[in-house]
Amino acid sequence: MKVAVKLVSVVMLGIVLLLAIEAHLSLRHETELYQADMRHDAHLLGQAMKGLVADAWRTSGPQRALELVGDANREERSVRIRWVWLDALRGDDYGPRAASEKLAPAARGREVSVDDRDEEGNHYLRTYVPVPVDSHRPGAIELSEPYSVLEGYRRATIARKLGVIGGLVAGSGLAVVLLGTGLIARPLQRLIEKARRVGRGDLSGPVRVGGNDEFGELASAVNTMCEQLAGAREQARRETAARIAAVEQLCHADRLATVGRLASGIAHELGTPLNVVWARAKLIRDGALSPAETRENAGIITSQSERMTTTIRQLLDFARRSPPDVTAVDLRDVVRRTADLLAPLGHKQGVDLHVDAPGGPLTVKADARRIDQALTNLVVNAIQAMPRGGKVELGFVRSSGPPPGKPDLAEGRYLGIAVSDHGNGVAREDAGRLFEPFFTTKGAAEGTGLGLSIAQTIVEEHGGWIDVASEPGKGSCFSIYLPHHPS
Amino acid sequence: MTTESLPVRDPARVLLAEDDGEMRALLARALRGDGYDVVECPDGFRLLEQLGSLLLSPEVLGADPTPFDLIVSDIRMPGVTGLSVLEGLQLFEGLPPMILITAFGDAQTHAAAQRLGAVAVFDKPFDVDDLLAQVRQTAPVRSPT
Repeated sequence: MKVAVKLVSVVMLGIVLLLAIEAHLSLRHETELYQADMRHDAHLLGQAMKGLVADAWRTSGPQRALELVGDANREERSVRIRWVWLDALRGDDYGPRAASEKLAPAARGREVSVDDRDEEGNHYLRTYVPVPVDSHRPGAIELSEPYSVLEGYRRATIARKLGVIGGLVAGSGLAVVLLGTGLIARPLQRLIEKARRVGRGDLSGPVRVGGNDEFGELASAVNTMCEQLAGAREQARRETAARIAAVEQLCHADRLATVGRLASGIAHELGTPLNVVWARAKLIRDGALSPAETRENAGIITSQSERMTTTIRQLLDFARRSPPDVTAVDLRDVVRRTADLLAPLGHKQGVDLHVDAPGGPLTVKADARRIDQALTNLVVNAIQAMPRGGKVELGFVRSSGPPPGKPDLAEGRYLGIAVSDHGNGVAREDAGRLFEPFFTTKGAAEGTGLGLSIAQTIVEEHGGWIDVASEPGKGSCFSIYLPHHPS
Repeated sequence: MTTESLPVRDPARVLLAEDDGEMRALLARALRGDGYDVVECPDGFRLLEQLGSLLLSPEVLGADPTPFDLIVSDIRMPGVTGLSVLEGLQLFEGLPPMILITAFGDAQTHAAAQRLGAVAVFDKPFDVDDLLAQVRQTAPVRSPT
């Protein structure tokens, strides 16, 4: 609407200017014609009076001639006719009304018309027609016609022209308002609202703009665009849904595979001791054993039951994911505690635990008890990886920036504990399954295959990760990384 | 053991491979109680070691190329699995009959065991008496002459 108003205002201003110029010129032309007409009328009347007055002056004397002039005044209302002596003073009875300097041609016998104003400011055309009645004094007939008619006409014309221009402006303004609203503002407003709706993501409800003008075309283009956008969005939604369904299916398949592996693991871990218990119990039941043998078998049954209990407890530990009880923990304390705890186990197998601790604190936010558990599992693995003895090193590591290969974790500073052994390392084919529950390369007596799974679960619950570097035949290094906690 | 004068061993020899000590002791006790001569292997490496004699030439072995009458082996063991040991020895003739033990009991393992020509597969936990019955059927205990 604003644009339309500006455009129409400029055009209107031009039209008003043109009309004003035209009115001015035509008024001036008409005024000139009217003045010429007045002069012509005065000339004709003057010439007619001149003959009559000169004739009366000669035949009947000046008195009669002046009466004739007076009579003519009674007949003619619009023109005032007087007898004047051109040499008389302005203001005398027979003195001319116009200034004497303008009357010089009349004194020489030539007719003259002059514009003049009286004392009250009224405008007159005064025409002096010389009449040779006295050889000594120049006399003339003075015809005074007021310009009031002309001025009335001019005022009326100006008023009319102004009325026309005003009407034109008002009419155009009204037309702009009405047509602008109907043809421009309303469709434009609808298009603006539609654009805002699209901006908010609402593509429904096509914009309706009547007519087949540019607005109609624009509305049609906008509607087509929205339909295409809605189509594209629907397609994207369908594709996303299909992708989610595919991912869910994969997850489901993965869950099934995990459950299958878990079931296999449980079957393996419990099947063997259960078999032992079964067979030993049968031996006792058959009653063919000596008291000493019975005691021996009962002892084996007890130990196998304990073994199954341990397996089940570890499995529950793994499954029970309670939120960690987080405090500021110095990793040096975690390492010290774990090393003290496991030194006897290492010693039994000829493995030394070597701690390389820095001077300053290495603070992370963690549940100390659970991090102890995770580290214990890694160190036990390291000790078991060296059946012929050796040295397990416990060191400290740092990482800053994005965690490598962990897009889900936040970028930042991480502190960690590295556990290095010089054992057999991880076989390449086993690397992908290290953290799988029940996956183990150890003998039945050494592990259930839950240690690394539990460690990984704990560390991931803390927003960290476990990094594995291993070289078959040379050893492995497992590092726990946890988010740094600036103390 | 000399093999020259012993074309038929008595009692029959069973090679038992099982990584779990208790389970191994249990099975060995049961087999010995039934009159078998049992050689125990705690893992796949030992099993391979015992069967390694099959790779040697008949001249070295004399008239008895197979020192065992039966193999009873767990499938899953640390190091080399029982399955892979037996798979590797398939190419050689005179492999004794096998009874396999598994804790998983899945179709895949059973299929692999059958492919190797195992006479029976036992899923843990199983009745030891059933295993003994299968052993007796496969390698009868011969009474001394």
